[in-house]
Amino acid sequence: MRSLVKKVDFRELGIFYALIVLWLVLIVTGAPGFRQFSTYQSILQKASFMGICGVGMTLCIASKHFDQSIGSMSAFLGCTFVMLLRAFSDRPPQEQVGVTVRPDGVEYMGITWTGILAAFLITLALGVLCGLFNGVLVAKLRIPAFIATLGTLYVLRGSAYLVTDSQPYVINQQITEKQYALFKYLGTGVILGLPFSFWVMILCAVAGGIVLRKMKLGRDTLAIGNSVEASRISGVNIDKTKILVFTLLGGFVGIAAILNTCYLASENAGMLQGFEFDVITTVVLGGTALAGGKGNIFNSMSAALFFATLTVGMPLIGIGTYPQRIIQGAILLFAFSINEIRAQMESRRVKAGARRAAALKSATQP
Amino acid sequence: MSRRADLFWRYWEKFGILAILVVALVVFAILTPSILTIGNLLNVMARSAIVGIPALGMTFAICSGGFDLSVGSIVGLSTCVWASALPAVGLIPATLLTLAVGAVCGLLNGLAITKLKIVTFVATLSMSMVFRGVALVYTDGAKQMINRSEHPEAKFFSQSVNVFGQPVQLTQMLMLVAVFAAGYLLYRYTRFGVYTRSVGSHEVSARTSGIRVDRTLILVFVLTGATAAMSALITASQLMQGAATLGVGFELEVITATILGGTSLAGGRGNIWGSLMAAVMLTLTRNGLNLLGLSDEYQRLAIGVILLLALAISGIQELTKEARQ
Repeated sequence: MRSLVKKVDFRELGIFYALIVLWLVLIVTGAPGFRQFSTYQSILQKASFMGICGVGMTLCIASKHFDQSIGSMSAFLGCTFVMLLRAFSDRPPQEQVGVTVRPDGVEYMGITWTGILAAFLITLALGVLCGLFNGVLVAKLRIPAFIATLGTLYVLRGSAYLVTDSQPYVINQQITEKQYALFKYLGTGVILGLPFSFWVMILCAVAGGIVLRKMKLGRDTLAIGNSVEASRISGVNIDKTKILVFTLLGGFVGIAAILNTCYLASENAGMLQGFEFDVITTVVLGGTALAGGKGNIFNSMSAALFFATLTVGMPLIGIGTYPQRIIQGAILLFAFSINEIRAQMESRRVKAGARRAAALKSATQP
Repeated sequence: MSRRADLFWRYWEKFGILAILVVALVVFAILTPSILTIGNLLNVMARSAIVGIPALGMTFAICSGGFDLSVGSIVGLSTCVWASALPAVGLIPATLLTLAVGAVCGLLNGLAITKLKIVTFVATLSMSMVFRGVALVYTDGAKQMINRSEHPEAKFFSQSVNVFGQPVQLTQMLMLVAVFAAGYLLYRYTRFGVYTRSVGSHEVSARTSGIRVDRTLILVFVLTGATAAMSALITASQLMQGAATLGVGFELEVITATILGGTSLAGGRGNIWGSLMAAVMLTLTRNGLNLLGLSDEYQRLAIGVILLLALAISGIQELTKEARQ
């Protein structure tokens, strides 16, 4: 216990305390809905999609990069997932509708379990590929990440329209009842009172934490976030690290996209616009500075919960959709300026320390 | 080999965008011959003002080492302001008010960047959310329609005038030409232009040599905001309405035009003439895809691909430069 206390720097957990305080305030003041467990379930549900992507985004921002394309990417992957399910249905398209009827009256096309597994795997692989593509643009062609991913943002959004031909699709028409139960479980299932996707988020966060704290990739990520030149000199393979960071992020987006599609049980190409803002906001709120070289997965997850509390809570206490946009922008600005100001104060302190050390050295030397 | 490559890149910087424009024209001429009518080409040139004018502002922003991702939101907000103010106060006051709103948005961007010390693209990203939100709250999500018969003067910015028997949107074209001529002079011959370039190429040395970096950056973003508002005037006048949702993703086109035009992402080097050509090229592409019957989403996809290609080309250019050194 002692060693744990030593290891966790409690001063770093600002956003976690803020989350607890926010919840306490909401409960004590009796904000509508905040004394019901279901509200917290929907907060966790909402937070988990942001959190899963947030794990990858924390790594990405810690390496001093930035990915704007993940909203479009998750729409594209979700659309591909649904289209794959349709494509793998074992009946030809013209016979699809109306062939079989489930006991609950929904017509379905019939897809094998292998088909479903293949759809899962291909979607994840595509996510990894999208991330890889971003990584190659950034690492090999030296395009600044925020502009490279701005390009892929539009390419992926367009691709989403392309694969679905601008049509919305509903999942439950493809699958048998048992399979429908699986998708429903993935989307809205509950384990020990908490949503299934929240558990997935915890798993992803643990994995991300291990990568960031224990593995070479994590150390290299933080190193290039601190200084590309210094890490190049000390032998870090910079291009490889950058590409891996973006690829990992793509994988996480793949997971989130599948869960989100299962949650909504439908998909259309226009969804999740601006999702990247949410994820970036949470990661930066969690104290991962845009200046790079710092990252804390636990804080990113707490920030995802904090942010989800606001998005779920604001309509409950009567703030409309439009003012929410302004509030979100203001939060983002606040998060960025806090981090930048803190980083500057820190660097000033370091510089002052160095100056003092130099003065001491010159004073002691004859 | 390296000298030949050197020569290639030097010509590319000067005439690359012209070559791309010609290629695009030829491709579309083969796919849809109707693009080559004089009326259509004049129309394309006039419509380039919508992307071209903010691309001029963006050229200054990127040249100063920054970036403005809030252009689309400023356009949305400005159309709302213009469309709601015009019936109340008349054309000229409404126009001035709109330009002022754009400039104030730019000022806020500049203050966030210089005083709060936020990285430009993040600052403008968060600001874009704020501007869009303000526009949504201001209009309550409703379109601000202008009644055509009651306010015919609202058509001013998209008026067609017959020139040599062809209808030409003269106001737009004149605005484009005037803005770019002024921009070129500003960039080339004024202290502000020199300061912008030196801040972009090395901020610290600009600061130490006595340039007021903060003031220069703020002015650059005010300029970008104002040009975005000018573009909004044309859009709103064409549609006879203002809406908070106008200009979503518009920054993509503006940035694409600027980078395609040869303005270096590294800062310090802008290309005004290139931005103009690139704006024409993008408008031509959109026009061509429109004539081919492709919807807006696919046009955006195409522009995204063009942006990535432009970035890849400039990336390769930087790489060969590095290899030479």
